[in-house]
Amino acid sequence: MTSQPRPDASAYDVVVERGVRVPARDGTPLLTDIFRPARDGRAVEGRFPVLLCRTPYGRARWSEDGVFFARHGYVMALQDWRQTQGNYDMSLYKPRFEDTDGYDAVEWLAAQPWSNGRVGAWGHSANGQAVQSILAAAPPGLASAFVIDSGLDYGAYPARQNGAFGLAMRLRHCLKMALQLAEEPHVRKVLEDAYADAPKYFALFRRPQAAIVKGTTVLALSPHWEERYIRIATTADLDDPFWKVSGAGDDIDRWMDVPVCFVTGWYGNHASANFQKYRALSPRLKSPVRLVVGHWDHTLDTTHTGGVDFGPASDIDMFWKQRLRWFDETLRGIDGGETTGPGIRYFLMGGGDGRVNADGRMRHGGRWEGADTWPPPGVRAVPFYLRADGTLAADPPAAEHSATTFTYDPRDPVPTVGGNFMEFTRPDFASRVDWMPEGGARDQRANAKKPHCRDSLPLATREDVLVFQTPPLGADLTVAGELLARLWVSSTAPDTDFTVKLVDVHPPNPDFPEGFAMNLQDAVVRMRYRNGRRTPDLIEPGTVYELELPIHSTANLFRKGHRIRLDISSSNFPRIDVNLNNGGPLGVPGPVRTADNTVHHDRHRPSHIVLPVVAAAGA
Amino acid sequence: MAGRHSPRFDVVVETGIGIPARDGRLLDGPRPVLLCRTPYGMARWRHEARQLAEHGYAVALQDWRQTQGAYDHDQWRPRFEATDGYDSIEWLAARPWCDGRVGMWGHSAMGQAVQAVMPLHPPALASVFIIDAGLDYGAYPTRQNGGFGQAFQLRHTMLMAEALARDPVAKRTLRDAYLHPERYLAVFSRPQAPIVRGRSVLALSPEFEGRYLRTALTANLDDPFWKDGGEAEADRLTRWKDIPVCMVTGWYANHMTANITKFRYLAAHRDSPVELIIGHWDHHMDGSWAGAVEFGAEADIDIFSTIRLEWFDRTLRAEASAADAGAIRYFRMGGGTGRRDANGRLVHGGAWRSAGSWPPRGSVPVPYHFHADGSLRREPPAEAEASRTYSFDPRDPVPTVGGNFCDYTRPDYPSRVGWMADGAAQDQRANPAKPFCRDALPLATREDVLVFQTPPLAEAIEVSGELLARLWVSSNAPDTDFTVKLVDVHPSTPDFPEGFAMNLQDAVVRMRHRNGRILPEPIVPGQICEVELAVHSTSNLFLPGHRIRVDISSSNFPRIDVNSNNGGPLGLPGPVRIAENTLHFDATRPSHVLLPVMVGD
Repeated sequence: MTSQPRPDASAYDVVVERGVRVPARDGTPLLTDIFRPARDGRAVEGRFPVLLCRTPYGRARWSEDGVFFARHGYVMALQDWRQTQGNYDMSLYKPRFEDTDGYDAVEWLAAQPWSNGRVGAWGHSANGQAVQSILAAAPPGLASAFVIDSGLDYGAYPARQNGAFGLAMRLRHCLKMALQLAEEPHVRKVLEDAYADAPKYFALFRRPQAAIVKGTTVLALSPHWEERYIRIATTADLDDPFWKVSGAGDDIDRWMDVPVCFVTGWYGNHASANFQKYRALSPRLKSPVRLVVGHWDHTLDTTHTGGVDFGPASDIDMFWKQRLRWFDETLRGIDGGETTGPGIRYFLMGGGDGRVNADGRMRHGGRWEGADTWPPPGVRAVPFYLRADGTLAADPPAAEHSATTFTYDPRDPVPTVGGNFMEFTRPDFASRVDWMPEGGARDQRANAKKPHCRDSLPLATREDVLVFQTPPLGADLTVAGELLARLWVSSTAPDTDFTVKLVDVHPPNPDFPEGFAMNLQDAVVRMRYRNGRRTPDLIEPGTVYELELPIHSTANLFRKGHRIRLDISSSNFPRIDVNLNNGGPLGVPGPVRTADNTVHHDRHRPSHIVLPVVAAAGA
Repeated sequence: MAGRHSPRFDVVVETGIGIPARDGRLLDGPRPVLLCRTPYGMARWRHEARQLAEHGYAVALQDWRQTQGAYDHDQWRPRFEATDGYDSIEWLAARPWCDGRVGMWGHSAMGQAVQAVMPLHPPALASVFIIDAGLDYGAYPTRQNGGFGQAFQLRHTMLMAEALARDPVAKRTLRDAYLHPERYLAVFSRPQAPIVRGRSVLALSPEFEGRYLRTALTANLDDPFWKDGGEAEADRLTRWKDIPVCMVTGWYANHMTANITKFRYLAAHRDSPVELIIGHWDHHMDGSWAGAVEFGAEADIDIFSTIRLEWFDRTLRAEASAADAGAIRYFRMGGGTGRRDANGRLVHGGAWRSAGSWPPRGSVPVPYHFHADGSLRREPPAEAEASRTYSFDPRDPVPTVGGNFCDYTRPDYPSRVGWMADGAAQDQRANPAKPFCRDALPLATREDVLVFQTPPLAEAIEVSGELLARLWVSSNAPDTDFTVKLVDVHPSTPDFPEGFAMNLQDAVVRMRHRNGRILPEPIVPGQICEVELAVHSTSNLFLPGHRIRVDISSSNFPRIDVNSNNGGPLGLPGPVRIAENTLHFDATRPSHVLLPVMVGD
């Protein structure tokens, strides 16, 4: 999964010892493949730094990485999580043994005769979660960590988002797990089909209000994964024991003091969690802490994300060159500038010509920037106010009473188009599933080919999407930092959702004659959880509530002639499950009610979005 | 051979008569005569008549007077069948080739014609064989506890309208409408759109449009429309002549419950033998399968030759029969491999059983309770309050998949109509080839279908007898429907990797008619009603590993018209309301089904 040639590595040949049984403290063997530098078909004598990657997806998938690092003079150990033994079995949010098993693995590796005692751990996604478990367990042998788009406290996000359930991702995940672990061939076959074509098996694509009920769908063929899905779908309260995960390493205050590099992307699953981790660790650790934020989605490679290309500079070859440089510098002392530059390297999107490239993507462009804090120094928090005429304006509204109401029908939700979630529809993705919504940066229009879409119209044409936008900008405007929406809202229902989405509206050009409305970030809040996930609190129909809704971070240059747009609605399906507006239990079928939802924009309730505006050069 | 006769009216009834012959010459000596009277054109039964004649009976086929060879069966109003039948029997009995004993048989409407004669006690009538005829069609299946049997009536009306159309253009159009009604009627894409006089293709046949609308609009059973000569058919049962009666029906047939009703009354009140045969069949009453399910070779006992002949031999000729199996012979379904046969059908299997009464001895009603976790268990719920509410939107009803109605989609059926719901036993999933289905999903995946099921059974459970649902329900609407469906869930196999959810029986109640069809009573929104709903009878062996499942919902379209939930007149366009319907299952409102479990002989 790379678009760039690997750094040349002719230093060594490689020998592999497969299926080594590394003992955990309770005697459980941890199956491990060990890649060692070799010459003439024999392992080279001597002590090398060791790298460890622990995975629930089947260690063989990372053999290429093992060869790569061994050729560069590392011993690379690929290890299965204990309960998986080569299968894809990631009980998401529940890495039960990854702290102690990871600790034991590091110490075992550090003590081997071919080890110089310095172990580095790396991992992407769940594998990165396992690295974080090791950081919390603090084995003395660990000397460096490289964590690629892993989250923190997955129960808080992205399993749910301010109380709303991340439906499509969980459904795909549970189906994948169920089919991987199916024993009977005919069960496996039908689950494979369900994974490839979920709309054939689940009513919810055409009937968004249809929650999955135990024993009524194809998921029942895998009772374990059916139960897991339903638990996540129905358990919103973060105090529920379900979300307490002992081995996940979520307690960041315990993480040991070694050099750590985090990598994520604006459209990655875990951008906000990575800023959180950077902020928690960089003041506390003496060792260097680094954060790299590209444009990427969760796959963290290539120059494009979704329907947008960000230019050749955007792909820095994370998986090969960057990772190698990090370990060369932190384990071997080869200075590559990785730990001496700014703490944060981020990709400032925008500046491209907005035309189409040969792959059909819109050229948004961008460049790398550095900063030690987030938001970067010099950023001003500038409110942009929602106005009755649909504009987004610097001045607050003057009207005594002004509001816009729309009807949100859970049977007909706003379809998901883009966003910061893993793009499983990417043509080159091995487990590609076309029924999933398209992630990353997308022109904001529906796609009738998707089972959750009923047409191919721009989302802005829907009457249940409120659009507020600036006039075409008279000058470039750069935004870098966290986004915050402050909204005054009310509803006729005892519970409902509100969504916000920040969009960079490219003006029309010959390639995109209707323009290109590119989503930057979005967020949702389930009103009963507006005060947090531990205190469900239904709303009083008709009462106006003030909401402060963080919308992740971004970095984007809105070019002159573009518009800054904010879309407000109440659904984003199937990324997020629909709220039935009935105030009843979540994740189960119930009465389906339409809600009349209102956003207020008057002098007393001046709903607005706060944008982190970078001062113009020379200003 | 054709004869003409003039009974007491100045009406000439065309009659075909077959008389046994040898070497082209009539056989000497009088013999019993068998009569079948039909609204469908007597030529269709020539083959059956020949078979019976070959066995030594004189056979008379006769058209109902108003039809004269065309298909015209005003199902609920056999106006002249009592007296015309009487006259025909007596005329036949007086023929020199008749020994004075007349037997009568009939299937469906023809069976109804047999029943019409019975209260008049024609002296010569000595035995009858009635194949899946109902009793009081206005009560069922025209409507079902107030819900209107829409698809069935629509098909029937269009078929008659076409058959009797004189104008060739109208006839061609009605033919096309019969085959493709979704091109003419909004109701398939808009279930809430009833047929309105003068506004659809049915207006090409004002007479039949009128008949359809009378049926669709008249729910009240006290309406004279439902009474022939001022009397309901069920009332006439008490005056049936005391002669041997054999009735045949099937678990998926239209009139199973009516046949049990008739059997019970006659067995208790008549001296002559009464027999009831219940196979697996749908209304066609043949084949070893019904719908998408195969019941095994022994399921098909060939009603139309062997069984009927044996019956008349026994009752008209006093010939001893080895197959005198007892008062009720019924097919207990289930026990098969659950695999797919060469025709693509699920092999459900089964075996014949006999009983002296219904339900059979050893059958005990056992409550299976609904629980909040979706389970179906014998123990009642303990919670002080538990319920589930769903939104029933008449614009998006649960599609009909299987049921005890005539399977007009059978490939070998001459008037086959692909748009009709597939009848009999079917895997409970929608079929997008049907104009009333929007997807191919299992019905259980719909959020407006509440599913309650047992865990996979550890031991086999046989259920034989009447099914009853006792529901505590409420709604925010002044009227709505509730449906109940009993399902045998076959587990996943290589042939059916998602399993096979086979419907056994189902029922609907339109709440305003929960206390009967005479006086509609709207419900009070929010008030909990206890409803006792008879779900017909069945006989099925749930094998180990299967689940017993009960689905509760509020629609079964187009078999039953949708309730617009507005409490207003039925069968007319009106405001369409989404109802929030609630099923309660707690300690004081323990909704359950009563299953007739066989506890041993």
